[in-house]
Amino acid sequence: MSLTSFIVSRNWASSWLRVLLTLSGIALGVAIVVAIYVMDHNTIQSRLRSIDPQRGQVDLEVQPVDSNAAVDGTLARLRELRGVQGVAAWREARGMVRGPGGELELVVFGLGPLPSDGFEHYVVARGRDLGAVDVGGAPAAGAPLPGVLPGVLLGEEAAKLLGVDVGGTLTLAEPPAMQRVVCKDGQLVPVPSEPGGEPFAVQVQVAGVLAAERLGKREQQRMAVVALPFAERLRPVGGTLFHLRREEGADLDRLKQDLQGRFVVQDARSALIGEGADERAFRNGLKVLGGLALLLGMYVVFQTLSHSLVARIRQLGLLRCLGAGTGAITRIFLFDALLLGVVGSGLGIGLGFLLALWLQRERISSLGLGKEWQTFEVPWLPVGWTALLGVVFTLAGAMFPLIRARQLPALDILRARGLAPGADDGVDLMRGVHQWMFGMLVVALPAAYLGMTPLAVEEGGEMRMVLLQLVGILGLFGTVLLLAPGLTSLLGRVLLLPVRPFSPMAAWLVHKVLGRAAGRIAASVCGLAAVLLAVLGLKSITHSLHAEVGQFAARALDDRVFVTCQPSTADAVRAAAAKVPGVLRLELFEGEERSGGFLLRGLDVAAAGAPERPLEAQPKLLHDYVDPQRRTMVVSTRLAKAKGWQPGTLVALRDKNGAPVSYEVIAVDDRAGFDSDERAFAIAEPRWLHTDFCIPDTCVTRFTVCLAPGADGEQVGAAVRASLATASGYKTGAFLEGYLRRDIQRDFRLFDLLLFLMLVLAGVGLLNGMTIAMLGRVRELGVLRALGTKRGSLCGSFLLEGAVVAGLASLLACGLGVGMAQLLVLGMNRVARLDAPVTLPWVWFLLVPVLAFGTAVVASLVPALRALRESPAESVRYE
Amino acid sequence: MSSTPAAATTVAPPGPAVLEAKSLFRFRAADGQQVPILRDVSFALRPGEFATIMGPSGSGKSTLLHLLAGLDRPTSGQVLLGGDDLGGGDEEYRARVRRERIGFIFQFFHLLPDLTVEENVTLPLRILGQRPARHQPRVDGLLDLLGVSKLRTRLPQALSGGEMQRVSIARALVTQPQLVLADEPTGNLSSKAGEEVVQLLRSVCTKLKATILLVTHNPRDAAAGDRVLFLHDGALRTDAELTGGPFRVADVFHRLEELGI
Repeated sequence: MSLTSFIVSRNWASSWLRVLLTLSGIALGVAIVVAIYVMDHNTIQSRLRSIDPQRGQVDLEVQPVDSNAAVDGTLARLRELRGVQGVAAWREARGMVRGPGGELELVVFGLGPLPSDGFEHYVVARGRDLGAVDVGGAPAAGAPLPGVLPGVLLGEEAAKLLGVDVGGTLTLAEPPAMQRVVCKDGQLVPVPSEPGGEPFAVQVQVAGVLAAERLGKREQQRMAVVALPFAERLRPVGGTLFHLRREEGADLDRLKQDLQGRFVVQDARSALIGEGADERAFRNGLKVLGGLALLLGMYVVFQTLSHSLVARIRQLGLLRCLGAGTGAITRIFLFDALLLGVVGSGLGIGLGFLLALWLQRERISSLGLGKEWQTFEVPWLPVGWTALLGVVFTLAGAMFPLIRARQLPALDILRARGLAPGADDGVDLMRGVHQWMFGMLVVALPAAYLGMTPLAVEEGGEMRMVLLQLVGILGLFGTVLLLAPGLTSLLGRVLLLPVRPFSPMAAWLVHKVLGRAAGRIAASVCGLAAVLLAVLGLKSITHSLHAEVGQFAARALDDRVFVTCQPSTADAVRAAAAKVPGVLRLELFEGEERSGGFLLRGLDVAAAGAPERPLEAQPKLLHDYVDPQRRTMVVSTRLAKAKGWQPGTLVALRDKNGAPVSYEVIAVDDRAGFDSDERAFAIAEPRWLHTDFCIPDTCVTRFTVCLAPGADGEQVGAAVRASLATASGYKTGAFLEGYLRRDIQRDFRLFDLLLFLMLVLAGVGLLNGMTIAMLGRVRELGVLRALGTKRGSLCGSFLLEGAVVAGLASLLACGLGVGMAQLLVLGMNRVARLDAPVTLPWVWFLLVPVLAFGTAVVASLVPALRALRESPAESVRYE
Repeated sequence: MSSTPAAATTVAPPGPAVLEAKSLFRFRAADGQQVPILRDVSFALRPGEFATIMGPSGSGKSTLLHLLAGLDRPTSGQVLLGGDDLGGGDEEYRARVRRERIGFIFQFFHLLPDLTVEENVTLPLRILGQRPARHQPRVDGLLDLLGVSKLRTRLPQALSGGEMQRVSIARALVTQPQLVLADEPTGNLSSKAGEEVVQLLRSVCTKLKATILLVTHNPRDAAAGDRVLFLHDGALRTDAELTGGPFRVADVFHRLEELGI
């Protein structure tokens, strides 16, 4: 066995506590980050797969406002947009396909340009994908067929029924004419068929057969894919849509803004899994918290490796005296650190997977609690990077003691009686350790983590600004504490003053420690304060969100009951529900339309202008709302913020016939009602929904019951449900407010769990530092015992030291907490486009010191009890 | 054993010297001044010689030993080990010399607490990059010679001071060094244990033909050497050197009286 492995193995065997504490620091820090990555990755993957597996890698689906716009021109305009990586034109149609096995009417998807690069709309099981050779331009009716047949992709079932496989020939034709209808004056009317020419038909060759996934699964695999020009000649189902794929990291919101006015975003939900502003804020918050956990883990490592120098220095001094070269010393330190880093990171990855499995089992996702994620894929790149960070920073933690060990003359080490900082004989081993720690943990590690973490960051830089401010605050107090530890010493001594009369010996011992080990105390205060600050910050966020819910409830939920029913006429609902005692007023939503990418409902002007409603006492707006010449709408606050709309904004939609129509936003207000999802909706005069979207008379599926003063919501709701045969359910405003609040509590419980783990880490760091410091003071403590110091005083000094750390950390956290709360809530509002009032969690300002003292007392017990085990006789016997 | 002082001389006995100190000076900075610790110290050691350097506390004995071991550098002068100048290289060179050619016995033993007796003894072999198992017979012989064979699996905290120093001696000898330097090896031991250690060193010198230089402030320890050199105020009292030992303790005391130390 080489000297290196021999020394390291013996050190590990004899210093199992140091090894255990170091490994736990690395493992816990890495585990938390890994668990967050795995959870986040699989949350998104599961949602993507469940939402619409047929769509492939499509971020946005849009339609040009100008329905006559040429496909090529539209594709070119879309490609020019910032952040767009790929575009494709897409059309659904129905066609007749004839093959050896018979004839079949299929849904046919037209795609262009070909090949469709990167969208992965389908998977080719056999044969080849479509390419430029399959475009060709559809021949005019009656024109001679081209020499090379254009290709078509068939679903598996379609291929079987048609009796063909790859290479087979088919005829693709327009299906027989059927009655078309259009929306005219609010009614669906048949359109007379045009006298026809010859129906379109073309011979095609089966280029490939699709696998039964994504598009290949549509219509029970009875489908085909052709070049777009062919699909345009068949019977269309809707207009030509355009698919967009974003560049990595491109800001989705900015892209949608760029599209506004010229395009209508048809469907962005598949792109918005986890990318919505509030979801993004939640996910990024989790990852930032993960970074804090990793930082705390590395802090534990730094503490252990740096301070264990004290315990190992004589060993290394002796080796130097016996002739071990600096190379041997270097190898010992680095091998020890490398082994710790690799084992710790490996344990961390395993622990992280276990933690992720537990999170999956408890249905805790990165989009909130109660949301399942079915997959368990491992994002190896960020996981690997995290493990690598763990190893690299463990090695970095070994650099300081290594550099110090190499610099110190061997003789000085052997001669020195005291090796703690500020020792009288001039050997200060720890000089510079906190500057080193500052550089590594406050500068290098956050930079490395943020640099490699796949934050869902938007180009606008709002999240980046919030992160910079956060890092700035942390850096500020880290700087103060680590680079000016004397301040900690001074403040700590002030905290000791009231304790002196009751426990003078313990207080004196702690006073000495504060002078001698101010840097170590400062680092412990930093670590604990960072977690306490995170607690206060997150509680501020939840309190502010609660306050925001309260404000919303007051505007939109109070004294209301929200009823759902089967499609009914407005008259029928009014006739049944208006008779119920306790009903002040009914507000009926006539029709719903989502084709514009948001929820649009019809609400008549009487309801819109009723007391405590959006257009209350605003005659001009009421006039605008019912103006027969203008389509106007009132949007909710959430929707306005999400879309960037304000009064005066013209929103482009397409009516039922596909013609463009514009709706003008005349007010932003929540008082119109409530939608169960995202609180984002708009209301317009029901006439427009009839005219533009042909909603039928039986269009009422939701209505609001405004309660008379003193009426009980549950009773009224039950009575309305009983009186209206088509009613299917109801929720009171109080219930909904409670639900929204519970949603917040539930979602943020994940943060509570992470904060608890980080508190444990901070406690381990404190325990670590105190234990190692105690091990370096064994002789001193033995002498004190030999001189008659009571066990209680010695034990008490450790507990008191912990209490001083807790006190300083609490003061720092509470002092900075007010500013941090403002920063976080305002940042959240900016990033997630909310309007939450800054609400300080005053109860938590009282609880934080309790948490701090609890953690510190528990952490101090180990070194205290360990110190008492040392025999005073042995301590003074030999050098 | 002669008790009469030899003629004052710094001339080394005939034959190549294992160790030569030539005009060694060592100053240390104190309160802004350069304080001399050693002044113009010169002597030589022959192979197989057991020499002691006697001097009161603060005379510079340990400083001299550290210079000879390459643990410190003289302000001026030379230390030649087998003809090689220790000051001619950097710390890495001196470390190599220490591990290959010098065995050191410390006053405070400095055994590694995590290693057993045998592991402490064989540590220099590992530092040399050698496998202890290859030298097992010699290791066993050393442990027997020093009377710690039965303690080979024990940890240092289970040993007495005398036992620890024996282990320290074994460690110094395990690599068959050219030179063994002992820095007050009995300073931390009881009188009886110290006497045993010194006799052991005497025995080692005879049986293994080791070249040993021992520094001490204890006349009993000094008397065990073949030569006794006297160091006072950083200077070697060449006129007081005793040769032809071992000596009686009284001889050493007598010489100390003559020197007024």
